[in-house]
Order: sequence, then C-alpha cells, then structure tokens
Amino acid sequence: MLKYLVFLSLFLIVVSCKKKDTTWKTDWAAPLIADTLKLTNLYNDSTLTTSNQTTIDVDLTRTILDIGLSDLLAIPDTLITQIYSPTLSINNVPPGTNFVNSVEEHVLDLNGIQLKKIRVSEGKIKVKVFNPLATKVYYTVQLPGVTKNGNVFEQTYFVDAGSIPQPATSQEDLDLAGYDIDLTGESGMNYNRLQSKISIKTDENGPVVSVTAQHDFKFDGEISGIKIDYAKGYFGNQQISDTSNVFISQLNSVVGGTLDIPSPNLTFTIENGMKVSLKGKLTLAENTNSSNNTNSLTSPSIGSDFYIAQAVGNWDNLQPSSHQIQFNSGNSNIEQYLENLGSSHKFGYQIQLNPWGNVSGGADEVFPNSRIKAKVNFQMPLQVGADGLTLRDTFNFDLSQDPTKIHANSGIVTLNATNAFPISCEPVLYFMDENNFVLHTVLASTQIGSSNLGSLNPLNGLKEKKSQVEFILPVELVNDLNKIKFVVVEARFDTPNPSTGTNESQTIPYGAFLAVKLNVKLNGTIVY
Amino acid sequence: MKKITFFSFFFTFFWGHTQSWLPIQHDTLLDKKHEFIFSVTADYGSTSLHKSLTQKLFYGGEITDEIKDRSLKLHKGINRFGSDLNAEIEYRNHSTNVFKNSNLGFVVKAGYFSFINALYSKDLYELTFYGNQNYLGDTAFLSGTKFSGLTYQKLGFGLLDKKSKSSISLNIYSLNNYTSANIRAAEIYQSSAIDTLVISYDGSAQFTASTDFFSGFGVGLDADIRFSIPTKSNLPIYYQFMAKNIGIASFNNPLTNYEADTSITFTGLTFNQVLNGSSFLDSNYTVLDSLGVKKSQSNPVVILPGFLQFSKLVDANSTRKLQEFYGVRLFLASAYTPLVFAGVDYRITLSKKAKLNIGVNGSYGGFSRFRFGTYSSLKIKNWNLGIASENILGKTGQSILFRAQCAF
Repeated sequence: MLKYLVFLSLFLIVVSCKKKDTTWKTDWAAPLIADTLKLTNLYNDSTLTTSNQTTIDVDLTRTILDIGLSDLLAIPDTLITQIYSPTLSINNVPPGTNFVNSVEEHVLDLNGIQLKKIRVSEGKIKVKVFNPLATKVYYTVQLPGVTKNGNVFEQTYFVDAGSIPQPATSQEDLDLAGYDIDLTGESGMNYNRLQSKISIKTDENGPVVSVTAQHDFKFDGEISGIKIDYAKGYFGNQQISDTSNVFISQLNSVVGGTLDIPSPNLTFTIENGMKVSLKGKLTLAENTNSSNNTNSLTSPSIGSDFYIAQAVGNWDNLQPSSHQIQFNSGNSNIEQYLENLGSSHKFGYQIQLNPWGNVSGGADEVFPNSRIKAKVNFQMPLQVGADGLTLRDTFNFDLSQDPTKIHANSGIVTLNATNAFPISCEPVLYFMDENNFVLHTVLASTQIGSSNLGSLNPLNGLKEKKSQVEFILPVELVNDLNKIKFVVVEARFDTPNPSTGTNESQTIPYGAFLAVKLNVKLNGTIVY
Repeated sequence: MKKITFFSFFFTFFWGHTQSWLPIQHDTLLDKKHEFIFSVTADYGSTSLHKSLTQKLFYGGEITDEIKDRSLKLHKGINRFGSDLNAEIEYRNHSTNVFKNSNLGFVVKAGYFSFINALYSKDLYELTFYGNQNYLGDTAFLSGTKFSGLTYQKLGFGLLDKKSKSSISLNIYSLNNYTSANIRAAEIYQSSAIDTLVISYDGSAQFTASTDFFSGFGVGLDADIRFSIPTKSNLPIYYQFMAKNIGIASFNNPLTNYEADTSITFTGLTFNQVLNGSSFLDSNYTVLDSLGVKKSQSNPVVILPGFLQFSKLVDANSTRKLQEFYGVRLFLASAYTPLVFAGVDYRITLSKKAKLNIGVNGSYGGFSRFRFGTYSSLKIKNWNLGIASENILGKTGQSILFRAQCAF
C-alpha cells in the first residue's frame, strides 16, 4: 500500500509543480506596412511642378540670406545727461519759482552711419531726476524731436526735498515703442543728434529756499534695447560677408555609384528691398559628398561684382530691386557640381551698401518690410540616370527577446511592391552588434523591378512593375536578436533601359508611385 | 488470493491513467465511534485534447507536431475540457449525541479544490497550437468560447444521521485564484496575400488582481443523503444523493475586467506611423487601447463549481457478491454535460477480516465522451483503502481517485 501512496504523492507533486516549461511551435503571419510612396509625400508642393501633367520638373527654391534693418543698424544703449547749475546764488527763492533750462543735444555714436530720422519699434528709457533743494520740486523732462502721434515726449515728476550732498531722486521706466525720433538736432541740418530739455519749479506750498551755484539740477536718460523699423539717413558703406551652409542629409547616405542629372539650372537671386544701393559678389559655391570629395562651382559669375539699384516706392508700395546670377551647363560646371551629390553645401557672398558713398544726400531709407534676400533656385526636368547608385543608412535596433518566454525562431519578411518609377532597387540588410560588426547579412531574394520592365496600366497611363521580394530571417539571426544593435539598410539603384539593359537617364513620369505592402511570417515558440 | 489482490491493484495502477470511479460502499452495520475519510481526486478530461498533449501542458515538455496533430484529429466544432483536482479529509463522529439526539452525530471536513472548465472551438485550438498561417484566406471562428478556473479551500461543519449515514454540512470557503473568459462572438480573418487582418470580437475576461492566498470568501453546503428502497428479496437498495460545494463567493478586492465589442481591420502601418513612433512598434503604444479593450474593476458574486450526484450504492453487507451500481453526475460548469455511469462490483472475501472489492464501470458525458474504468477496494479490519481508475482505453483524459477510510 505504501507504494500506492508514494505514487499518488508523486502524481500530485508533478501536477502541482511542473519541472520544466511546456513549449510548442506556431506559425504566424500578419501585415506590417501598407503605404504608397509618391513624390508629393517626399517634398513640399513648391518643389515639384508639372506643366503638362506628363512630366515633372524640379523647382526647388531655398533662401540663403534674409536680413533687415536690425541686421544692418543697431542703436547702442546710450546715457544722456543734462545738468542745470545756476551761475549765481539766489537767496529767499519763494515757493512756485520756475527754473528753465535750454535745450541740449546729445550725439549718438553710430560708426559712420548718419541717421536723420528713425522710428522705434522696441526699447525703453529710464528717466532719473535729482533734486538738491530743501523743498519739493516739479521736474519736467522733455525730449524735443521725440514724438508720438504729434506729441513731444514729456514727463513731469514731483521730487521730494533733498540736499546738495544727498539729492532726492525720482525715476521711472518709460516705453519708447512707436516714437519717431528726429535726429537732425535743433538746427534741423544735423544727424545723430538727440535733444533734451528740463524745466524746474519749486513747490508752491513749500518753504522759501536759497539756490546756490553748488546746486546741480540733473536729469539722466538711460536709453536701452532700442530696435528700429524705419530709418532715414546715410547708412554708410558697410560690407556684409558670410558663408551659408546648406546640409542635405539624404545625400549623405550615398555610398557608391553615379547619378546623371541632365540640364540643370541654378539661379541665385538677390533682392534689395532697401532704398540704398548695393554691390554684391558671390564668392563661393562648393559641395562635399559622403566620400569627402569636394566640387566647386566654377563660372565667370563667381567672384564678379554685381550692382543692385535701390528699391523704389515707400511704405506700402515698396518695390525691391533684384539681380539674378544663373548657372547652367553652358556657363558653368553645374552638372558635375550637382552630380557630385554633395550633402554639405557652402555658399559665400559679400554685400556692400552705398558702394559709391553718400550720393543720396542722406536720403537712404529702410522701411519695416525692407529686406535684403538671397535665394537659390534649382530647376531641372525630373530625369535621373542611376548606375549602381547606392544609398546606405543605419538605424538603431532594439528588439530583444527572452528564449524562456514566448519568442520567435525564424521568419520571412515579404515585400510586395508595385513600382511606377523607372528605377530598380536591390536592397540588402546588415545586422550589426554594438561594435558595428556585421553579424548577419540578409539579401533580398530579388530586386524591386523598374517600371520600364513592367506593363502599362491603362487606368493611370503609367508603366508598373510588380515585384515580390523576400528577406529570410534565419534561426541564427533570430537567435542573435539580443546582440543586434544596428541595422544597415543598403539599396542599389539603377535605371536600366529594358532593351539594352544598360543604365540610362530616365524621365520620372507624372504620378509615379511605389506601392508597398510588407508582411511577415514568423515561426515562434510558445513557452507556457 | 494474494495473487488476486496483487493483480487487482497492479491492474489498476498499470493502466494508471485513471479517471476513477469508486463507488461508495454503504455499510449499514458500521458500528464505530469515529470515522476518518481521506480522499484525493485528480481528474481531467476532454472531448478532444489527447492526453499526450494534456500531459505536456501539465507536466511540461515540448508539444511536437505529432502530438498536436493527434489532438487535432479528435476536434470537432465545439470541444470541452475540464479538470478537477481536490483533496478532502472528513471526520465523522458517531458517538456524540448532538442536540441530545442519539441519532445525530457530527461531521467536520476540510478540503482543497481546483477546477478548470473550458468550452472552445476547433479554430481556437488550431490558432493556439499552430498559429494563423493555416487560416490564410480563411476565417477562424472563436465564438462561444468560455473558460473559467477557480482554486479554493473549504472548511465545513455538519450533522450526521448515524442510522442512515446521511450528513449535511455548512461550509465556508477561501478563494485563491479566479479567471474567467467569455468570448460571445469572435472571428479572425486573414487574407491569403497577408495584407489584411480583420478581428471582430465581443467578449470579456475577469481576473483576480490579488495574489493573496485568501482572495475571497464564500459560503456553501454539502449534503450526503442516503436512503433505501426495500425489495422483494429482502435486500434493500441503497441510494445516495450527494451535493458538494453548492455555494457562492465574492472577492476581497475588485476583479480586473477586460471587455471589448469591436471590429478591427488592419492592413498595415503607414510609413508616417512607423517613423513617428505612433504604431505598435513603439514602446509607448498602448495595445489594449488600440484594440478597443476597456479595462474596469468589479466585484461580482461567483457561483462555485458545485457537484451533484445521484447514485445507487454498493451494499457492503449484501449477501450478493456481484452488485451493480449506477447513477448520474453533474458539475455546475458550462463545459460539463450530465454524466451517466454504471458498473458492477464484485466482492472477494480474502479472510475473515479482509475483503477485496473490484469493479468495472462505464460512463458517458462530463468533460469527455464514453469512458471505461476499473477500481479496487481493500478492506482490512478498520481500514478500507480504495483506488480507482476510469478511462482505461480513453485517449482524452486521465484521473486517479484514492480513498482511505478508517473507523474505530
């Protein structure tokens, strides 16, 4: 009987405490990605154009320079001070006596720029007055020529009684936004002149006091953070030079092969929205590709001066002047320049104001909407010839699994593609560890065929090629999932002529698309 | 005779996969003060799951394609599976006169119970054990699937009718784990090109959120009613109505509920979804939300998977060595169909104080279909030890029942 009990006990123990996991293998399939790549998905609407609904033109415009008044002209923070000191001592000054001071001019140092008039869009003035008298005093601060809606800037302060060694003070921060400032001074013929005026009146209810030559009645005006949106005067002949960098990250993925770009046009347009003459020069245009090969744009237009007249019109009807520099296959090496497939572009330029000096008699004008702009415009028919053009990109990968839990053993990723581009693509996947060592390479079972190898779809008038491409993920790869930290996707592009098999330049048809359906079949182990 | 004894027990154990059927032997002449009954049941059965697969699920190991195929052949549209594991000890006091009634003794019992009950479609079996690749271009139907699992303990006190041996007890229960799922309607369609996956489902599931041993509390009844019908031959026939764990329970903490009634068509992600991290590939993606599954909490009252049986007993004191027994059994569970059984018992007198009962029986219903079983019961002095098996020839279940009875 004992052995029966032992058997029964063992049975119960086994049932209640499994010694190992239950496992079984299953096969699963699911769609992963379904999408259609169209050119409109890749670029903004102003990049690609069509004039005939058959072919596509690239019309790419990028602004590489856009400067306004604040970039040309800065009013420095300025402290203006006006002091009134009586020349004679006056005893028994009765309450309510006025002291009037004359107007004073303060010169702004603007490094050769001679401004006659400005409008402040932003900025403030901190007004501080000092009273050395033993009675309260009314201070009136006026800035002649500083007006808003026709009213002169004027502030009055009632300052407590003070003493010569310790004058009483009063101060206030005031906003200058919206003020017009006439900088021609009292004579109206000068420039960079700011005027101020103070008047003083003793308290009508105060005591009788004495005023001596040691009493300094002082006003400080601390002007700071001034930004202007209108200026008139002579802006000097300052020169602006810089190098703009444009980075096209997608081209950094090119690791091999060639791309034929036919008949490109590259146009630089410089616009002058200021009423000031300009001289300019394009000093440099070069690009560097992913292989560190640098190609410079060579043309007579590089390094040559050009002149742009001042804009015409005024506030609401300002018409910029412009100048264009065109590069095409006839006047430059633009084709080779672009086929270098540079991802890093440098454009150097110089711009000088008033190249002939103050010929306007100080009538240069800059309005709020005045800009100096430089734009690059690239135009070409969307026609490419790829010969082994190879793009490579690396992605982080983090898809670990625990073999003691539900896990995958192997799989097949299938790409069903309908390609209306005359470009074939042969993808390869590299799975790498954290040291960038390639652990596994997965080749596509076949290429995504060029549309030229397919047949005409009468519904859309496009040639289409259907391809089924399989990526087999073997057991060894799936076992190494925990080690894989990066996936490199490499794709070789060709534009084959279906008749000859050689790669030739192909026109991308209007409406071209690549429809992709990606699914996965996985063999997995259920662990229970 | 020793050989017969050995053979009988060996026979029982050799077949080992015992869905047992051990008839209650009614001893009207039992005249003892104390009686201890210890019983253990380990029983699972299915209409369709081959025991080679179930054994792997219980004991571990790899379920090979051969094992899966063996079960697949047994599956029909709707299939059942259930298991009943329990151990119970009962003390019957015949000497005390409860309420000063010389006919009333008392009963104390305690037990552990684990019950699983599942009703499922063939397609669910295929999806679970093969995956969905067999269903490319086809629809898997999962409607009508029900599953519940409950583990609990019992402590009972009751009265014993010394003359008829009938008893009734009031029990309290402590719940451990509870899981319940009900898929009212569900279909999964996969296109043959693997470019469309359509999932529609209307179902709910509930789980105990707590892992505490005492997750809930319940009350219930056990009844063991025995009565006899006189016959012309002056040998009365004894019948028994038995009810166990007829009760209800609720949980200390609310259950976690998942409920959904929705239909989803998935044709693949767009590149924007992949690149912007708004897909299930992204770690922040909430799968349940995207599937329309609503999570909530509730504290329902659950009905315990009670047991009901009406049967003819074997009379331990009958002059007939060969006796028949039969009856009907029911568990209060959706996958359990009423089970009818019948068998014959043969008593062998080994000595003056030792008797051996052996028997065979057949049954139909329950979690399975037809089953054939056998048992052995040895009585020596105050001890009565029995072990039973059923389903000797069956492919879809295993069970064992052991009972030790001591009266002194």
